[in-house]
Order: sequence, then C-alpha cells, then structure tokens
Amino acid sequence: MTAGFPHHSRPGYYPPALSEELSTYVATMAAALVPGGAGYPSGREAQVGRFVAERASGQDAEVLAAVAQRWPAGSDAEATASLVAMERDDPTAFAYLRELVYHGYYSSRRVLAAMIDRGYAYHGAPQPLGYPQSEELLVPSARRGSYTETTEVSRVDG
Amino acid sequence: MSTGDSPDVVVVGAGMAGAAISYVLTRAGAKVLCLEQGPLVGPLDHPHFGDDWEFSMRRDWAFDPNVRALDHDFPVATNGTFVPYLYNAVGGSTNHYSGFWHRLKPVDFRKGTEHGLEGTIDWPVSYEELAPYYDQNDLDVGISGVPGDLAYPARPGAPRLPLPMHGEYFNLVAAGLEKLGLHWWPADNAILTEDRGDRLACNACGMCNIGCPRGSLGTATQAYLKPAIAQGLDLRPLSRVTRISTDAFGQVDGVEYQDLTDGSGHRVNAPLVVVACNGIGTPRMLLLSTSATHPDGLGNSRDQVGRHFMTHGYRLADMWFDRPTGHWKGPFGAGPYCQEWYDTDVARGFVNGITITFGGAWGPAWSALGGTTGRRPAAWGEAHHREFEERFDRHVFCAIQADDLPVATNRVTLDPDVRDSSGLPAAKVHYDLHENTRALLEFGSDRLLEISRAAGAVGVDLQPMDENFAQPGWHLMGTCRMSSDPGEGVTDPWHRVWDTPGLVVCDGSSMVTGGAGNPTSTIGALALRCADRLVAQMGRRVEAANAS
Repeated sequence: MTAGFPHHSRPGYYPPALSEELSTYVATMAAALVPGGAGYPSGREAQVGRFVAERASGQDAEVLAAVAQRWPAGSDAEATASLVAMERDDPTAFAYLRELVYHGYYSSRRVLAAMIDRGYAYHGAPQPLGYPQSEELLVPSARRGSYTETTEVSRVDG
Repeated sequence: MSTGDSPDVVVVGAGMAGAAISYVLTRAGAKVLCLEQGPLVGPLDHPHFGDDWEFSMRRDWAFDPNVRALDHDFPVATNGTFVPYLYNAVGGSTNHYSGFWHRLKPVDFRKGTEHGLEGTIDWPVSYEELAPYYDQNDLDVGISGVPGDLAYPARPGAPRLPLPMHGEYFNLVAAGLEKLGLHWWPADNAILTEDRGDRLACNACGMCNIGCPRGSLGTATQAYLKPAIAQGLDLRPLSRVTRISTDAFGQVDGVEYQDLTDGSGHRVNAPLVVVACNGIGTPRMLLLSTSATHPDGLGNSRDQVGRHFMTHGYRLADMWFDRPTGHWKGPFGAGPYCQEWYDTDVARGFVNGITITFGGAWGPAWSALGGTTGRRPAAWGEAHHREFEERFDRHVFCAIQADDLPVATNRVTLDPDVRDSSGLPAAKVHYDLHENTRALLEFGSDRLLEISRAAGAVGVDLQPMDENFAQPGWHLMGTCRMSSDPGEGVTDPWHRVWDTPGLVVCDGSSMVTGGAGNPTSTIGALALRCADRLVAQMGRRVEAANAS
C-alpha cells in the first residue's frame, strides 16, 4: 500500500519506467515534433526524452512501447514519416505522444529562457515569485442586475 | 481490529463541511474525531515550485481521481457523460479549487415553487435563514471582491478584501461586456489579498486550481481545520472509514476504519456520526453501510440515497485574441462573470438560467495543446513555434454554467466490479444531460459568441456538444438532499438522516438545487448552520429526524 504522496509522476522517488531505448525514441520523436528555430531549442536539445523517462508511469511505458513498435524512429527522417502516419492512422496515440512531448518541452529551462528572450513575462514555476500587479482592473460603469426576493417567487407557467 | 476510542462525535471527511462542523463542535467543547482517507497536504506537496507544474496537473494533481489513481483515492465509474472531479485529502476539494465564491440567490431555494420540473422541490430552508451563515463563512474563509453587485441581496455582514490581480484578459472581456451593456461583475474569490496570521496574501502566481502553498486560498484547512486542531480536534489523515455501524435498533453506534499507512483496522464507538464526503462519496458511504436493520444502506429505506445527482451543466470554451491576455497570471477561473440570463424566462423555451464566467488559463504547454478545449493545438514540425506564439498569451478561459435539474435517475450507486485499494466497491454514477440543461448551454453558447465579438476576440472554440460530450464534474450535489418530506430526500432540514438516529449528512449532497454558481460557499454556510444546531443539542442524543 502506497497511500499519500509522492505520486509516480514526481521524479526521483521511483526507478524509471522507461527503458533507455524508449527514452531515446521519445527524444527522436520530440526533435521531429518540435524542431529548433526562431530562437527556440529543438525537442531533443530541450531534453524531452529525459523529462518523459523520469516521470512516465507503467501505463505510459506500455503505450510508448506499442507506439514505438508500430511507428519506429531510427532516424529523424523516419521519425517524421512515422509521425505523419501516426497522426493520420491513430490520432489517439498521436495525441498521447504529443501531450507528453509538449509538456516536456515547455517545462524545459532552455525553452523558458528562449521564451523570456522572446519577450514573454512567463517564468516557469508559479512560485515563489508569482507575478506583479500589471494594470488597473475595470469595474462596471453602470450598476446593472437584479434578483427575485423569496416572497416574490411564483409559478412561471401560472 | 483495535477499539477504544469513544469521542462525542465522529466526522467522516475533512473538506469544507466536515472541517467547519469540526471547528464549531470543538469550539463548543465536544470531543471530535475527524477521519479523512486522504493525506495532509503541506506547502511543498503542491506542484507550484517546479517548472513541470502543468504536467502535474495532468497526473498527481489531476482533478479526476481515476487519473490520479492514488491508493487513498476511490474510483468513480461513470456512463461517460461527465468527468468526476474531486480530491481526497485533508481540506478535501478545496485543495484543488478556484476559490470562485458565489452564493445561491433567494430564488434558488424556491425552484419547486417556480417550476417543479423533474425532481425539483423547494429547499426546506430559505436564503434569509442561511444568510447569517454565509456571512460567517465568508469571514472565516477570507473573501476578496467588490461589494455592490445588484444581482445579489446586499451582504453588509460580509466585507470584502481588495480584488486580486488578474492578467490583461480581465479588461479585454470586461470591455466587451460593457460594450453590450450586459450585467457583469468582478467575481468574489476565496483568496486573501492581505496577510492574515500565517496566511500570506496572494502573489498572483495564477494556479489556484492546484492549491496554494502560500495559504492565500481559502481552503477548509486554512479556515477551519487549523483552528479546530488548536481547540482539540483529533484529525486522522489516511484513515478510510469502511462502514458506519448501527445497533440492534438501527441507531448509529460508531464507525470502522482502515489506517491506510499500514492497513490495520480500527473501530470507534460514538453516538453521533457526521458524514461529509461530498456528493459522490457520501451516498457511497451510506450505501456501503448495510446491516440487518438497514439492508439497503443507511438513510435509504425510501430509496432516495444517491438520487438527484447534479453537477451543473458546463460547456467550456477558449476565446482567442491577437493581443496579450496574460492568462497565466492571477487567480484561475475567477475573473468577470455575467449573470444577465440567470433567472427563468419561459419565453426562451426553458427554465432556470446561466452564469458565464471568464478567467485565466494555464501555461505554455496548455496553450500549445490548444487551450481548455484542446481544439486548436499548435502544429508540430517547422510551423510549431509560429503557431505556439499565436496561442500562448492569447487565450481566455470561458465557462457557461447552467442550473441543472435534479433528476431521480441521475444517481450514485455502488459498482460491484470496481474496487478501491481497501477492496470496497467504487462509486458508480449514471448521469444524463437533461434537455433543459442542454438548451441552457446552447443558449449560453450563442451569448458567449456575441460577447466575444464585442470584446474583439479573433476566434472562439467551444467544447463540442456531440455524442462524446462529457462536461467537467466540478460540483457534486443533490444526492442526499434535504427535504421537508421523508419521501423526497434523505435528511430533514437540519441534516438529520430521516431513518437513522445518530446520523447527520452535510455537504454538497445536501443541496436541493445548484443554482448557476460554484457551491463551496453554500456548503460552508450549510455546515455552520448544521453545527450550530448540533451544539444546541449537545448532551442529548441526536434522534432520527422523523422521531422528533
């Protein structure tokens, strides 16, 4: 029984569920899903394979093993061709892989640094920094609205 | 099985209701044992300090217990029409909520009089009776907002702290609502904007929905459990009640529970048990507690337990802009709201009404995956970065929230095929979206499109209402509802279970209608009222409702 924290998706508490081979597969697919450019690193440079390997559950490992068997990624070109086929033939599996990769990518410090260079105020972990007050909030210019008093409630069809 | 504990009261569940009742009873000097199957949640248990916080929202901090699949969760089987959202921990689902702080309105307590459709009945309590408890709950929790919304009764007894900060999206949406001349108001939030004791003011980190390590968010732990423990509350986390027991006369005489840290079994004798396990967990607990005198479960001699499940009609949407929205800054889900269409207008062809809420959203991964609806994910390959920058900092979360009808066949039962980590049957929920609720959501969708155009949005993605439509089940209500007639509910107006002496139920399951607003404020108010009554009766056995 393993009640309480931590969950399997918290890195460092449990042995990796992904094999080295599957981790490499994810890294190759990540490079094809998110190539470098416009100041951003590639999925491989962002170490998406490592991110997924550290957090994957047993179910993730099973799904990825099945995906890797059906859509191999020996080279970057083969990965791209496999992704095209996967998106067309098995949208659910494609969405599963894409979700893992996008999460890994946008959790990377290298990607966050690129976003800051591109002018975004987003700084990754919400705490401890939080965000400063940016502007005054509008308030309604006219007081509009009403409610029905308890004693005024009556049958709507009568 | 160990025995030996004999408190005055056992409270099952440490969410808003269980916490508030524990607080009031311990303040009055009662010896209270509160059993919670989930763990304590400390500041560093929240994902806010990691750059992978968005991934945590999909896994260990997912709303859906079936996704988290932790041993202290219980599975919830559904027929696929809604996704169950609840959190098992000390503080309950207030560890995992937006702090959006609506009250019900007077008319919401009189919907039986207004239309009486399906299983709709009047509450056995009025807004006016509950108002002082709403005020007290507001003071205990700590609410920010702007007084003066004419869509609600005045509440001079519930002052507000200044509004928290919001991203740029707030003014974009507000300008659209202003342009159309519609009712709108900045939402009240259970969020401190000034320090209070060891609770720090909100610093607009944006992710209330995965809790709050600063204590700014008004959780049940912050508002009630910490002071209750100081008053002597015996709070036992990771303690799963497996059965409420009754004596030969059918009166409650205690509970049995399992310590989830080592699997050991325990028995506690008590003359009064309060069940506060939420709109799914509470009926499950009553149905699990069968005996010779209660063969169909506690409170179920009239086949009412679990019926009338409501979860609010919900349709979510993303509003897209070509300007910055700052959606990751400020409280999630609690920006401006519009209640132009809250009240019934039969000319529209349906009853009840809606609230449309606008709020922040999550971070870059969420944007890349297409926002709240996921309908517009950024392309993969060479176009990815351009499409990402067309999405991130460009969307707004929208929710059309409809006042659902209580339908007898929308029901919580036990699932004989799915079990929790203790081997107990899971909850099984059947829910069909009622035509009236669907009409409300479709009507609200048209209104949302008008608002988005006025606000200058360049696009709107609505959650598809097709055969796969599954609305978010954030609010679990109605399944052990209060009633004046034993044939129409599970408890009397004071939360005493009609057919079971010594048993009290108080939480979202007690709600008779849900209005078109988030329910935590109402649950807290109901709990304080219930607890006041229990204190007044202390020293006397709490009889079954129909025996008094």
